[in-house]
Amino acid sequence: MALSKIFTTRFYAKNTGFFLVIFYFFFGIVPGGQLPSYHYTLIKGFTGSPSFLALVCLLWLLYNLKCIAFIINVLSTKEHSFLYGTLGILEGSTRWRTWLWVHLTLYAPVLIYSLIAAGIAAKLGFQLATFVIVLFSLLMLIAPLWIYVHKMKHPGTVSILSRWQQWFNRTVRKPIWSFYGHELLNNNMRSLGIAKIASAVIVIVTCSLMADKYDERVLLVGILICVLAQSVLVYNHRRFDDLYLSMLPQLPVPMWKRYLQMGGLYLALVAPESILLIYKTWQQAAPIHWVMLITSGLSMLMLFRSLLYFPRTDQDKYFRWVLIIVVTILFMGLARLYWYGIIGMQVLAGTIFYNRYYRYEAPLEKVD
Amino acid sequence: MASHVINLQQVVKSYHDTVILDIPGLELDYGVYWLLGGNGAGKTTSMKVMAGLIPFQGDILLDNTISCNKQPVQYRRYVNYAEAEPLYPGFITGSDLVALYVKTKGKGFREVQEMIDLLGVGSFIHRPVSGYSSGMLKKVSLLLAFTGRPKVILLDEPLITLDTQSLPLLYTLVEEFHQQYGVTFCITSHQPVTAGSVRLQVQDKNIVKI
Repeated sequence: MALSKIFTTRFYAKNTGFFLVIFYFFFGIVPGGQLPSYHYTLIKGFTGSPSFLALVCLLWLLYNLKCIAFIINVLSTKEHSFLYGTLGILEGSTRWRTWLWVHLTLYAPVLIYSLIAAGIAAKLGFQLATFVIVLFSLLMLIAPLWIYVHKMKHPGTVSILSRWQQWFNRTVRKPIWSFYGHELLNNNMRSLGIAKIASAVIVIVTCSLMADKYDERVLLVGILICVLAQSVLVYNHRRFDDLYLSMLPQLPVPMWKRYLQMGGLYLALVAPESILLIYKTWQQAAPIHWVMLITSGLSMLMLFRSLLYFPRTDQDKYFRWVLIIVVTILFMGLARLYWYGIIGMQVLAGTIFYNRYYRYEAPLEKVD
Repeated sequence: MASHVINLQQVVKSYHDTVILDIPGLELDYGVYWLLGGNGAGKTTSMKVMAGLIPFQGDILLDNTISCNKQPVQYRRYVNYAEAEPLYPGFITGSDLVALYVKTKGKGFREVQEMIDLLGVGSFIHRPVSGYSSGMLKKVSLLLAFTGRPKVILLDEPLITLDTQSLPLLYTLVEEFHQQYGVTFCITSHQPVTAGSVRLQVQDKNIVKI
């Protein structure tokens, strides 16, 4: 009972918003009468396709990591240090049963759904999918128990995440180009997550629309929409630089290096959708088309960032220019003039960057 | 022409249409300078201009040869600057900043580890700056100003937020870098940093020697 209050009740109370969203997507978007057929089709879909099943398993794994992180963080707080003197002295099967019960109550939503999926897969004759789901679920249930037992043997208020961060900070020096990436991952995860999920959906929908008739121009349209979805991240990049990295212009770094560092950052930013695009068009697209599509997106982001070095470029002006550039590249793409578009964007971005970098000054209100 | 360490030529700094600094000419020879001026007089703006951090009209020459506008990389290699109230992203660690400065500014007059130990920042340098007090942040920013082999170090209000034990240390460092390594200092502070410092004052948007 006490353990339920400490772990289970608090977990669901803390994640009410998260579960409401999940609940809406699973039970709220289709009329009640169609719910069984909706879920049957969904389960049939992911148990019948190995890549779809892998994606679903990844999502389940992420949820499991969330459960594990919650339990470890609770054990790391000072007010729960008494658990080491109680749960910590349990031995043998009692210890494993207790932790299994705690973990099971948190992992239950996914476990129930995955077991239903396994049952349907078995009924449909998808033996491999059934086997994978059952094995995966067992692993998700049992593996965390070792982590909890290990944690109980090593009491302390420092969480695994903190220890990992300390180790990371001691051994790894963050390169200059990665600063904004760290900022997104640390303080702007929501914006980054929304942009990445939107981009992933756009790439998947674009590839589905294209079906068997491969046309690189359709993919370019998809990439343009992805870039549009990320233009706000570029706008926020300037704000971040203005606020926290005002010392960067003082460093003796050549302009070409600064320009490449910006390119490196944006290449890392578009890496997930680029990988997804390559994966989805593996059998149809020529490698040169992948290079063209990724370079187009990258050049566009670099041009957006360079535009922000002009004085008094506010949000309105910025997004107006973003739309003008996207439409221009769209028309050039439809006429298959992609490479001219890429060269034009790079020349423009490079020229603006070279001429404006040292002449740029953060607006006073931002610095204040 | 005598070789001035730093030479400001027709420097004008404006924000929108308001002129903040208008310096027809200022030559600073090798020395330690103490820049005075009331609140809002333009001390920090002067320092940022001299550091090449913000754009301005005119030019600044280092050793009469290196132009701030025409040779920005070389200029920035020889001019270091420590802000009055440094602000860095919270996730960054002191060691990230030191690594970045050492990589770009090059090998220093003194080993960086020696400086870390001297300033007493070794105990927290691997921690993210979000956990630093303003004094700890100040020490790291001062440490960064002493990296590389600068000809000029600009220190904006170096004494604020620094604990009393660290003040003599800073005076010693300034003295040592000036005497042994020939570094010229320009310091804004409400109290004199070294006994023999030359006083400068921001007066009517100009910097004059007093």
